[in-house]
Formats: sequence, C-alpha cells, structure tokens
Amino acid sequence: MALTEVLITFYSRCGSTEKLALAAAVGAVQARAQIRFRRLPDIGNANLSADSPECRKIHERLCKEYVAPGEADVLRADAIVFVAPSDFRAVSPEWTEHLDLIEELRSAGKLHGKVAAAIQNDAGQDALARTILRLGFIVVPSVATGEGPARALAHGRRAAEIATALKKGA
Amino acid sequence: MITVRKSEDRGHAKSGWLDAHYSFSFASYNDPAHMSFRALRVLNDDFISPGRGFGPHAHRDMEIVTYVLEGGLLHRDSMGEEHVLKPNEVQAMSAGSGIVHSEVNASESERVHSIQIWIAPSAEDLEPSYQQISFDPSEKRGRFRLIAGPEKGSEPATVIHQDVRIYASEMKSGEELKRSISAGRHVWVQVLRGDVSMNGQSLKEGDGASASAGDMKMELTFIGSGANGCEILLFDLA
Repeated sequence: MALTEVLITFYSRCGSTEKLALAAAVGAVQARAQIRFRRLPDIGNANLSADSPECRKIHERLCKEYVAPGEADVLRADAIVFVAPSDFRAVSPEWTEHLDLIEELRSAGKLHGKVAAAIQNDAGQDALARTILRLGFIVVPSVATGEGPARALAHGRRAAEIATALKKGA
Repeated sequence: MITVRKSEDRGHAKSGWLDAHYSFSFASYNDPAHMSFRALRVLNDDFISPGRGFGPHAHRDMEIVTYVLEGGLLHRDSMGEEHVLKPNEVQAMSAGSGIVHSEVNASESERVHSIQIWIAPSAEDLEPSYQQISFDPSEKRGRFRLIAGPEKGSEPATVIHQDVRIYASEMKSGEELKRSISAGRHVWVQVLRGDVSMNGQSLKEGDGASASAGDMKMELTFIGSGANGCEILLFDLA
C-alpha cells in the first residue's frame, strides 16, 4: 500500500503558526505518513509596517520557503491538516480563495473519503474546525490535552493514523 | 578488489538552484544497481545556489550527516535547532521517529558545496536528535580524522546510531597514508577534492571506491596526487 499522504496547509505571518504546522507534520511522520507543506500566500501587499523587524524577517523567509497550495495538492492528499492563527476567520483574504477552491472540489465530489483536521493554537478555538466540517471532510478532532505544538503533534499524528486506517479499509 | 564508482557515472540532477550528483539512487534518480553500500544509503554531492535550498521536509529513521566544503548551509528543524554549517564542521541529525527540517544556502551571494550522507540506523523510532561539531582543519591533514561514529572518540565527533565510522582526510600531493580495514568490514572512499591513488587505483574528484576485507584484514594505501593533493571521506562499515 502506498504511504498515506498528508498535506499540511497553513497560514503564518510571523512564524507562530508555522511552529504548529511543523509539529503537526512531525506527528504525521511519526505515523509513517508522507507530508508536504503548503503555505497560503499573503493577499495583496501584506502590511508589515506594524510588525517587529524579527517578524518581518521571518515573514520574508516564509514567503521564500513555502509554495501555495493548489488543486493537485488537495486531490493527491489522503488527509489535510489545516493550521491557522488564533484570529482565524474564514472570510480573511488569505483563507477565502483556498476555501473557495475546497468548496468547488467538494461540490464536484472530489473530496470523498478525505480526512481533515483543524489546528489552532488554543484548544478552545474552534472557528477553523467548524469551517472544515462544512466542507465534506471526515473531520478528525483532537483528543490530546495541552496546548500549542504538543497538541498539534498529537493531532497531526491522529489524523494520519485515521487516514491510513481508512485507506487500508478502502 | 576495489570497485570504482566513477564521478561521471553517478546520478545527476540539475534544477534552477541545485546541481547534484548522487552516488546512490535518490529522488528521481533510480538505479537498482546502485541503491546503497552496506548501511550507506545516500551520498549526495550538492551545489546549492545563493539564497536557495531545500524547504521544510520530513525524515524518519535515518542518520543524516552533512559536511560542507564551501559556503554556509542554514539548517532549521522542528526541534527548534537553527545553525549555519560551514567547512570543517559536521552536522549529524538522527531523524528517528520523525523530524522536519530545511536546509538553505545561508548566503545571498555565494554558492554552497555540501556532501549529504544518509546512514540506515541500527534501530527504528529513536529519539530525534541534532549534533554539530567543528574541528581545526589541521586535524584532517595527513591523517584520518573521525567525524562521525557509533561512540564518542578521543576527539569530538558526531555520534550516529550505526556501526559506521566516517573519517575526513586531506593529503598533499605525493603524501602517503595507510589504513587497515579489519576482517569482515567494508570501506567506501569518496574523493571530495583533487586526485588520489588507492592501492594503485587512480581516483579523481567525485569518484567513489568500495572494498571489502573478507576474512583477513585489508591494508589500504592512499597517495595524494595532482597539483593540490586531495580531500577524501572514508567510510568504515560493518
């Protein structure tokens, strides 16, 4: 059986959410999945003037190191782990375009059987989870306690494990 | 018997920012006749353009040793390690149960020339770890300087989870170095710079050579040649 493919889709401006994305990826790798990262691009000219020099430096690196997710990335993934900042809003410019693409794929019946998980920094935040629940995925909730990267790692691992179990049973 | 893996016979990948030669199958280069040598699974000779490199990607169950010949390679990983690796430094990353890292050229103007080595570990699911050591270049001149091995030696070296010892050595033109390989062990030699003779077999930059000791120990004699001598890596493998 081919390895389970997990797509880590995230938006990070100053690196905090990237840390969660990396942790989720490590969890998926622990579950023996293949992973790929995609960062949602900034829309328009990101206003960085209020950010610290360190944040601007990290932002520049993020823009350079990651590519944006495309339709092919979504289609080849067995599981998608969405990772968003604390202030996630589905209507935010960075997320809207990608969520529209996901919705199109759902309407075309192309997301059948795909697993998804939503990760935000605070366990109490559920805006991202509610958004992906409406998109037709098999949503894997977090069962881990704790916050931040440790919880993201456990969640990423669980999403990969469930995607693998579904793939074996398919 | 010495088996030579000639530089030009290696796999080759050239993209906009990467010019790489693969001694063993790697990425899109797949040659069933050259998959590995003992626990040595990957030996890549990479030239990376300024400011570019390998973005975040994952590894599992692999000992990854990196040796830089020219420039600086910026490493970042999911354990929070962030270091620039330069010549005469060695990085060993034990991917174990899972790690994500990136490796990019730390310079916006100079290329990086690095050697990446993957060794299959003796056990799976190890705790991921990162090590980096540096040494004075004089320590590899005219001798075999241990840079990675299964235990700490008398001088700083990275520790890897496999019965493999990796040595760096520089020889001047005409300089002779001898090395004994114990019975039952195997050796891989990779020429990083210049030319060298190995038991009379001429090797040039980029060439690799393997030999096995069999039931008796094997004596190897290296003689640096060419105008500027050579630098080699020697792998002593179970």
